[in-house]
Amino acid sequence: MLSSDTSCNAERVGFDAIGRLTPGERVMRAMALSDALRGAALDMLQRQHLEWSTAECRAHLRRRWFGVG
Amino acid sequence: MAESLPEFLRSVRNALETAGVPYMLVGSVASAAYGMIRATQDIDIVIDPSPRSLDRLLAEFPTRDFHVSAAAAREALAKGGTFRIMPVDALWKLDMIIRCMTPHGIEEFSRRRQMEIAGMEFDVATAEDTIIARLSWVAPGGSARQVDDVRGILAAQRGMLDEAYLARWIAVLELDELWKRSTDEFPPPE
Repeated sequence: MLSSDTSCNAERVGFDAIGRLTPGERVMRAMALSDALRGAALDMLQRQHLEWSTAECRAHLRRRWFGVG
Repeated sequence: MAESLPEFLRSVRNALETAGVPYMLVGSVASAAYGMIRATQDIDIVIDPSPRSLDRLLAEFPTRDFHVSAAAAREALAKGGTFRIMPVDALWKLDMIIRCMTPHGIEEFSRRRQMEIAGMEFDVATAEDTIIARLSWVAPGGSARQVDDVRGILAAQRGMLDEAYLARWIAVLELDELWKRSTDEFPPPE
């Protein structure tokens, strides 16, 4: 799971776009937010655990967010 | 391997088309399309496969590239339920939900519409059915996120929703209390 703080920020960013975008563009914005948040979480974890490989960091986050990995 | 979530979504759509599996996007992707944009925790897709087309679909997600259990997928099809697909080299989760054969499940699937996303046509649940699904998924005790999604759709789709369809299924599915919580802020037009 993404942290609730991060999700709240994403919601505030997205709320301004309502009404100015097509449905497909809204989905693209949501996916761009998701990509950015996942990339930032992976980057942060790699900085905290320099000894871990990227695959190990992904597996760690997958377990934390999805309970599997 | 897909490098971004839109690219992954396109590859999933191609896999569904190749396998001949009818589908519709639901969940947070549909909520974002009709209402409030927020980061999606996963991609939820309702699918309606036969045993053979499910096997074709699984073949599109080889286990060297994806975390996926063929046994879990076949059990989901047999008993009704969900199975997961996760790319090995990314942090996305795809929940494949076997089409629910309840009266509402049948009707919402028949009402799905096409929508252009990332340059491709996708089948997506309607705004009304996204509202009903979000309300239905609220856990006992309430979930602010699901209700917020409904409020976001109501704010963006005000005046464009099929109110009679919504009212009918909200009554049948006994979602009145949650609906009232959602509409206190955005009451339906008179």
